[in-house]
Amino acid sequence: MLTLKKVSKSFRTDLVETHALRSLDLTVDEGEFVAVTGPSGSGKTTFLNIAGLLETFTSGQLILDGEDVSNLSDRQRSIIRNQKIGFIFQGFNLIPDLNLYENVEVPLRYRGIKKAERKERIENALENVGLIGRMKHIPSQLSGGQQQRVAIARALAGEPKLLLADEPTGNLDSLMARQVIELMENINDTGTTIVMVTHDAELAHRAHRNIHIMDGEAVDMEQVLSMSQHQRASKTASA
Amino acid sequence: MFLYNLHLAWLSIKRTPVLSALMVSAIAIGIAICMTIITVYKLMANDPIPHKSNIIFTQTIDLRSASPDDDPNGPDHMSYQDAQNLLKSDIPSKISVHYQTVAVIKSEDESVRPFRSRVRPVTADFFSLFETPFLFGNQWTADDEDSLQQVVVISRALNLRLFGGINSIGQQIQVAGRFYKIVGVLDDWTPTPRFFELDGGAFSETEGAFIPFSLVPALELRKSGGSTVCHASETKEGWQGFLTDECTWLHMWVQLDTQEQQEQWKEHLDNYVKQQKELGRFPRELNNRLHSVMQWLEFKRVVNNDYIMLLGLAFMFLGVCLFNTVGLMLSQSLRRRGEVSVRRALGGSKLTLFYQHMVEASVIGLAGGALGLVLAQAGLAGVRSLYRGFDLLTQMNWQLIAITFGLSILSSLLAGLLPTWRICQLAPAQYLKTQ
Amino acid sequence: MEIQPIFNALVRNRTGAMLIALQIALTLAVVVNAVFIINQKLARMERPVGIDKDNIFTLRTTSIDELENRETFLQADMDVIRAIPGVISATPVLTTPQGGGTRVDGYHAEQGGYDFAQLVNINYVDHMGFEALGLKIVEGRNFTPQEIRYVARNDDSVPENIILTEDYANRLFPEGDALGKNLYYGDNDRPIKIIGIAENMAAGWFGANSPVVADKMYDMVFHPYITYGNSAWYLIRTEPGAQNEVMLKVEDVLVERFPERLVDNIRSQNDLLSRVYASDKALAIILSTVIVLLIGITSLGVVGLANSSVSQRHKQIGTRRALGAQKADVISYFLIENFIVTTFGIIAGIFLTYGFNYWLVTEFAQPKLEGYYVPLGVILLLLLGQLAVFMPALKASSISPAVATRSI
Repeated sequence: MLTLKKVSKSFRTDLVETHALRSLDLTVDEGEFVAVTGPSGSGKTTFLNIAGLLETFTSGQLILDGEDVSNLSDRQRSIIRNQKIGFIFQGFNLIPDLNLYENVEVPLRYRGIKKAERKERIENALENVGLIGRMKHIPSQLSGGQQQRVAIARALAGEPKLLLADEPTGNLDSLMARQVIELMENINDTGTTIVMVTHDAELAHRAHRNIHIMDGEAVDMEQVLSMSQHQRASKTASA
Repeated sequence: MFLYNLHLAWLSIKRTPVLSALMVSAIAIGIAICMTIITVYKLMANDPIPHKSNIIFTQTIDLRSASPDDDPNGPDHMSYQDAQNLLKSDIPSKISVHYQTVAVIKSEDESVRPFRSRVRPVTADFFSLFETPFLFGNQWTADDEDSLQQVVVISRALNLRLFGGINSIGQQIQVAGRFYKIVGVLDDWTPTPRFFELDGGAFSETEGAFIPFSLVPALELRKSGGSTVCHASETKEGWQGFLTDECTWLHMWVQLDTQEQQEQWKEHLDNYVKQQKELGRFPRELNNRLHSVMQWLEFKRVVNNDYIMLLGLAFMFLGVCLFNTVGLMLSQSLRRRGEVSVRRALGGSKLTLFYQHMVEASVIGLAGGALGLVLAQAGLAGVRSLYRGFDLLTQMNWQLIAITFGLSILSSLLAGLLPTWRICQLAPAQYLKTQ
Repeated sequence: MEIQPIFNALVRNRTGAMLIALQIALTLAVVVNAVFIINQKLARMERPVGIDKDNIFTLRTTSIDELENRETFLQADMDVIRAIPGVISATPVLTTPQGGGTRVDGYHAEQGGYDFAQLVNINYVDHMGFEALGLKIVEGRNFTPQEIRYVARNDDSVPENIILTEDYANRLFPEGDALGKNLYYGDNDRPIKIIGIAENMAAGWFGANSPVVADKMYDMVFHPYITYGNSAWYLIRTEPGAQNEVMLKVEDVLVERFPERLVDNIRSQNDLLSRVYASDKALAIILSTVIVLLIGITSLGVVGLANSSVSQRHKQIGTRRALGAQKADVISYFLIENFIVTTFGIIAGIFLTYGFNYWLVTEFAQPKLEGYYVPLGVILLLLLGQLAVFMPALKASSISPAVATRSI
């Protein structure tokens, strides 16, 4: 489903070059529920941004759903984000000026889906997250957990192949967090691949597989990938 | 607290320099346009003689023939005959009859080339009625006038041209071929608008020489500028004929200090018209008109329609600038919801925050006003170059400067009101959490 | 992209939008009315004057002492002026054409019809007058030298033969058969014969705004008179291109002939007309300045608000991008939003525009706003809004979708 081959990302400022990712190799299979963990600043978010086509990378190859998406234009990337990927953000990122219905509608609008179908999909998605009755409300009238459920509904309405979640429970208390994670498990059960970035170990355990990122490199917790000192040194030298 | 708020205002202005500059220039341009037009408007609508404008009046009598003429207002001027008859009355404290002519003026000094100048025959009361300032000497006496003395009062500019500005009392000059003795030199005198004679334009300069009105029959000095309207189908021959014709051309002003005097004068005029009707004059209905200074200026529409129109547009312009500033202030205040929340959490009351933001709005307004004042000077310079004759006049006085700052601070406070009120409504905690 | 969700978002966040709409409304009202007024002023300034204004100048001569024989004085002056090389013709006139000074009177076409006298502007010319003015006699004949008579300045008598402009002839004789007919003056029964009809010439009150003369701008009568008060006005027409040279020379020529005089107010007709139109031109310039500043202010307001709305919606725009919005979608969002706001402003502005015009019509008898002014103003403001919002929109479109995953 998702394959990263030797993906590197570096930022160059006037003085230094910072490496956010160093030659990351990673594969996520279809239907998997993967948790990506790691300390702050390890490159988790950069990984997610690259996987979600939100950011470009310096070198390497990214394959999504069997298609090489490494060197696409901004326009093509937008289309892929819209059609194949669903996002759940830590800060929910609902649009404050729009009501729930309109919020869920946003990606569908960009996809150019007809009004009747849009309506059906939005209502199904809101039904799934249990908020169909409040679709005329605006985000600020909801609790954090409810807002995140709307965000999930927004991601689901597009029927994505890949759902990317960035600390989906980071701003929620434990009860609400549990509801959200159960919702995600249900989604995974229907066949949607989920990649979730989190620093919450308990949450990570509920995933099929954990990938740990440290200093921009992936360490598969189960199949511990070996990483030679030599490789690390050569990358630094080539920088 | 005020200084602290001032300090905060300065910090805030520094933090968003582009936005602040936009606000200041929006107010400045709005104020500049408004003040330029208000200044010209005020000039036109000015009371030229404020302490007595309600007790001096210009007098007209409707002597038109019975032929159709739709204008209900009647003539703007008096005939020589009626002026002479009414001059005899002792009801008004002062009566001035006058008109403007143009004559060649010659100095005894051969080196001064003869030149054309405005000359105004006036009755002796003219100077005291209109309170003309004297630089040297004084007006002529009633005796001088009655005994047909050839005396003259000249303007400061004329005195400068003829005598280099020295005290010229007692010297002689030639006006239209006759010798006159100088008895007075006026100081600068530019009533604005030039209400006592609007014919030559409401904003032109005062004439060069004043001579006794009693000399008029002997002089044959035609009126120059303004209108002479004759209301008979046949006119009589020559100057003497003209003086007895039903022609209106003279300005007549009376000073009536009390209500009683005014009533008496009206009655006197009514009686005069009735008496003349018996002699076969005045075929129309009684239509005597007495206009006070401001009534006269309004009647003669001294304030140009174009300017009332412009004033309307200018205030709409200021409105745009105001809404503009409100919008900018609003967006600025939205940016600092976090800061306000923190201040509220730290114990700032709504009132102190309101105060803080209003101080900031005033600082913007003050800066806008100052810049607007500078721009308005440029605007006035522009207007001066566009209109002739406004040269001496389009200047801002302290009153207009005060209006400028008042208007700009008021605008900015008004503009600041909505954003400030909005921001003060914030619950202290609201923007602390999500940040 | 559709309008509905953008509109809904606007409604929930309406203050800023309303402020822009109000600005647009006022701007429309001011700009449309100002342009309308400017166009009226321009149209006024472009009215034809009939005479050969580019090659005519006038001057005033004043004798320092009383003159003995004014008639021969005038004739001698004309002789020397007409002899200056480059002069086509010259004539003494009562007043400068369109200079504001006028003799106004009324003639009527029926004996005893005083009640139907038609207001007219009178000027005096000698037998070379029409050549000097550059007016053709379209019907009948010119004055002969023998017909020209000297009259005193205040003499308001009438001649035996007169020439009218076409407009005045048609006003008195709508059938178009004025030539050879008689006119009457006052309640005098003496007939005055129309011997010629000249091309239209703008009257002395041409610069006036009075409704009384508004439709009588070309109503003129010419008397075969020459006159002299203590001064006289001369009108001189030169060959094209010779005007400046003649204007420089004429004073010397006149003073040489008769030294005891003052010559002043030597002004080309175009200079004189520019004085007549000084306040019209001034108003047009003031209004143009107002328009330019206003459009600038309004655009800056739109740009400023759009900019701050972009920075406020930074995260939101990033999220939209993450959810699949293309750059073009983001740009069109801002353009559509501006279009909606501007449209509301324009609707209010149209009321305001006609309201202001109504005030002018009722208070100042100004003409009614008609035609293409409002539609053009609407298009202008729509374009202006789109243009103003474009740069901020472009800036918004370059916000990275990765903004969505940033926690602050």
